[in-house]
Amino acid sequence: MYLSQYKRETQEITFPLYVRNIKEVQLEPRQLNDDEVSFILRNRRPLSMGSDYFSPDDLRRSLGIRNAEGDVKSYLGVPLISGDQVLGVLAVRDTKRTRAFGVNSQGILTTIAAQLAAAIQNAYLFDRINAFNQELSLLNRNLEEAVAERTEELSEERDRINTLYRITSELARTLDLERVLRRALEMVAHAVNAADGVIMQINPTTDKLHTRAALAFDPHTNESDEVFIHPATALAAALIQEQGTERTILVDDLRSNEHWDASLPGAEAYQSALAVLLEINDDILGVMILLSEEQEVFTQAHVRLAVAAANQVAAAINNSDLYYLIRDQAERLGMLVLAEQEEAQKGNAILEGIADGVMLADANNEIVRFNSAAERILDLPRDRVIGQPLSRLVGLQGRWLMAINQWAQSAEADPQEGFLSDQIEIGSKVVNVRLSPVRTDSQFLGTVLVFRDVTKEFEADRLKSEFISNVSHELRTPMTSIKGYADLLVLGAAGQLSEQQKDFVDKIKANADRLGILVDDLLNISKLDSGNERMLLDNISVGRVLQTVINNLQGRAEHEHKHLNVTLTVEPNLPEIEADPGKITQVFTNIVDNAFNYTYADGSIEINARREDSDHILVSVKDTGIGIPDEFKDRIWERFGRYEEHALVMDVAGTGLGLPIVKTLVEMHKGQVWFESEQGKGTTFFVLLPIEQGKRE
Amino acid sequence: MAHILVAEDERDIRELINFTLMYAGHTVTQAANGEEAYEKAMALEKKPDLIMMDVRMPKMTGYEACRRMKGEADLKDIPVVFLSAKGQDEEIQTGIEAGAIAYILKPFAPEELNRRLAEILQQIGTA
Repeated sequence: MYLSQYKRETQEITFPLYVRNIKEVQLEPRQLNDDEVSFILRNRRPLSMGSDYFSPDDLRRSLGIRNAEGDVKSYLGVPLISGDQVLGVLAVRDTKRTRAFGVNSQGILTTIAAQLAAAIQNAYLFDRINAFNQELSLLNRNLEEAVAERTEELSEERDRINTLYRITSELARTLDLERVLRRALEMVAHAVNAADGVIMQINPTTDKLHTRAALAFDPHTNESDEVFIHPATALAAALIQEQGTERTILVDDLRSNEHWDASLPGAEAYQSALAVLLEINDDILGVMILLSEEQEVFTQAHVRLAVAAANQVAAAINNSDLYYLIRDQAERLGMLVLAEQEEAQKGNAILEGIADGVMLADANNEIVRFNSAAERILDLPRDRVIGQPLSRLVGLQGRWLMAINQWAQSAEADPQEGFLSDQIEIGSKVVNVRLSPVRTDSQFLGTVLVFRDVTKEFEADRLKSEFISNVSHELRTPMTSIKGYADLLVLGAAGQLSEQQKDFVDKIKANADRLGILVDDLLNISKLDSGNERMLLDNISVGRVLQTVINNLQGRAEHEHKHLNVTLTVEPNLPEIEADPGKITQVFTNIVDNAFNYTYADGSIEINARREDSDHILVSVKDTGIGIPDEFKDRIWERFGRYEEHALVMDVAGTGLGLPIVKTLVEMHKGQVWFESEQGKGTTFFVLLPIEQGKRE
Repeated sequence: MAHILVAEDERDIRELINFTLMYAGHTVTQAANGEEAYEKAMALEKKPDLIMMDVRMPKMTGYEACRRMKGEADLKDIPVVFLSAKGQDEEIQTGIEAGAIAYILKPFAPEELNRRLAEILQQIGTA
C-alpha cells in the first residue's frame, strides 16, 4: 500500500509512505501524468481494478491509464479530499490475486482516506500558520528596528535643530561677538559631548590664526602677556590648507595625529577632535574645533551638527564684521557731516555776526545769502530777497550788472578787476556798497555785495567840512588885522621903522602869510571834500594862465630878494582848453610856487606848454632845485605830506596840502599829473589836460 | 580922492580899513553893521562915491543892506564892494547878485586893497 501526496502548485506527486511486502520502500516523486495515481487525483474518485468482469489491463485501456503499475492483479485507490482540494491518493495493491479488495475494503479505505485527508489538511494548515507566524514576527522585528532607528534620527535631528536654534538666536541676539561665540561654542560642545571647543579666526591682514573663543582656555582671561596659542591651532591650520577638498576633519585618536602636539600645555587631556571650517560665500573665516577627552567620541551626526553650527557662526562673524565696518563708516560719515555742519554753522554765525550787510548772489545773479545786517541796512526782510534776481534789487545800478557780467565772462581772475565801490542813498541813509567777484581758480561762483551804513561817517564828514569852513573864516578875521597892521607898519604908515623893527614886523607878516596859506588850503580841501565844488568851465589859454602865475611869482621873488631864471615856452597855435580858470590857475600856482620854494637862488624854472596829442596838452614845470628824496616820492600826494627836512632847509612856509589839491583839481578836469625827480638836480612836474571836457555826468 | 562908506563890525578891521583908505588919501565914513551903513548912506547929504561892506554883520548883513540900498533911488547907482572872509563861489555869486561890482577877500594887504580900489574907482570914473 502507499500514500501519495499531491501539491497542486507544483503538480508534484510525492510518496511519503510506500510499503511493499511489509517493507518500506522509497519512491521517487513524479509529476502528474497518465498513471493510476494521476487518474484518481484528476477525477477525484476511487479506482478499483482486478474485478471479475474486467481485467486490470482492459480497465486501464478503457480509462486511458498508461505507465501502469503493471505488476498488480488488484488495485484500489481512493483520493484524499479535504473540502474542494485533493491532497493525495491512498492506495492498496495486490500482485498475486484478483478480486483481492471488495466493496467493504473500498468503504474502509475511503473512510481512512477521509480521516487521512483531514489530518493532512490540518498538518498543512498548521505548517502554513506556523510559517506565517514566523514571517510575521520577523516582519515585526524589522519594523521595530526601523521605528527605533527613525526615532533616534528624529531625536538627533531635533537636538541638532534645537542646538542650532539656540545658537542662531544667541548669535542674532547681540553683536558682542566674543560673548556670542563663546556661548555658541558652549552649546555646540554640549550637543556633541565635547569637553572643549575653540573658534579661531584668520586675521586678513596678517593671515594668522587667532583664538576668538575657547572654553577650557579663555584667551581673554589669560594673565600672561604672551600671545595665546591654542594647542589645536596646528589642526586648524591643516584644515585650512586642505580647503576645497575637506570641510571637516574628524580625528578619532589624537595621539596618532601628525597635527597634534600632546606636549603643548593642556593638550595631553584630549583624545579625539572634530574640526569644521568656518566659511561664508567661499571665504574662509576660520575654524571651529571640538575636543573630547575620550577616543572615537564624534559621530557623523555630530559632524552634521557641527557643520550646521559652523555655518551660523561664520554668518555671525561675517555679520559682526560687516556691522563694525558699517558702524565705523557711519561713524566716520557722521563725524564728517558733523564737522561740515559745524563749519557751516560757524560760517553762518560769522556772516550773521558781521556788522556790515552781506549779500551773496550765485553765478546766475540770484540772491542766495542775506545777513541780518543787510536786512537792517537795506530795510528789506530776508525772505523777500532770497531767491530773487539781483536785478530786482531796489537801487541796483546798471553799472553793477555791467561789472558783474564782465567778471562772469572773464575766464580767469584778473588781479586788476578788484571790486566795484559805490554809494547809494536809501531814504535818509547813505550806504557804501562794495561788489567783488567770488572765484575758485578760474570759475566765477557769484558776487558778494557788502553794504556799510556810512550815514554817520557821511554826516561827520559834512560836519567836519562845515567846521573847517567856519573855523577858517573865523581865523581870517584876526589874521586880517595882524597882516593888515603889519603891512601898514612896513609901509611906514605909522612912522619910519628901524632896521630891527622892520625885520621883526617882516617876520610877523611872513608868519601871517603862512597862516593865510594854511587857511586857504584847508578851505580848498574842505570844499573839494564836501563835493560841493562846482566846475565853472570856460575856454582858457593855458599860456595866459601860466604868464599870470609867473607874474605873481616875479612879485614874490622881488619881495623876497630871491632871483630865479624863469622861462616860459608856449608852443605856437596851442589851442585853448575847456577848464575852470580859477582851478587851473591854482594848479599851476601851486606847482610853480613849489618849484620856486625848493630851488636855491639863481636856479632856474623852465615852463613848457605844448600839444601832446589831438586831445591833450601837456605842461611841464622843470626846476633845478633840491629834488624829491626817493623815500618821499610815494607820499608826495598825501595830505600834510611834507618832507620836513627840505622844508626847513629851504625855509618854506607850507601845509602839505598844495599837491593833494593839485591832484584833485587836475583829476576834476579828467587830466593827469605826475613828476620826475632826481635829488640834488631838480624836479619836473607834468600836467596833462584834455582840450575838451566832453559831456559831464 | 573919493568918499567911501565902510561897514565892518570888527572894530580893529574897521580901523585898519579906515587907516588904509585915509593913508591912500580917501575920506571915510564908518558904520558898525548893515543897518547903520544903510541909515548913514540915506542920511548923508553928500552921498559916498563907494560903499565897502563886510558880509557877516550883526543886525543886518551886508547882502541885505546892499539889496536895500539898490532899492533906493538915491543910492542905487553907488557902487558896492564886498570885503569878506567868505570866499566860496556861491558867496561871491550871492554878493554879485545883490548888486555888488566887486568882491574882495580877507585877509588883504593894505597896498593891494588900495590898488584894487583905485582900479574900481577908475572904472566908474571917480578917480
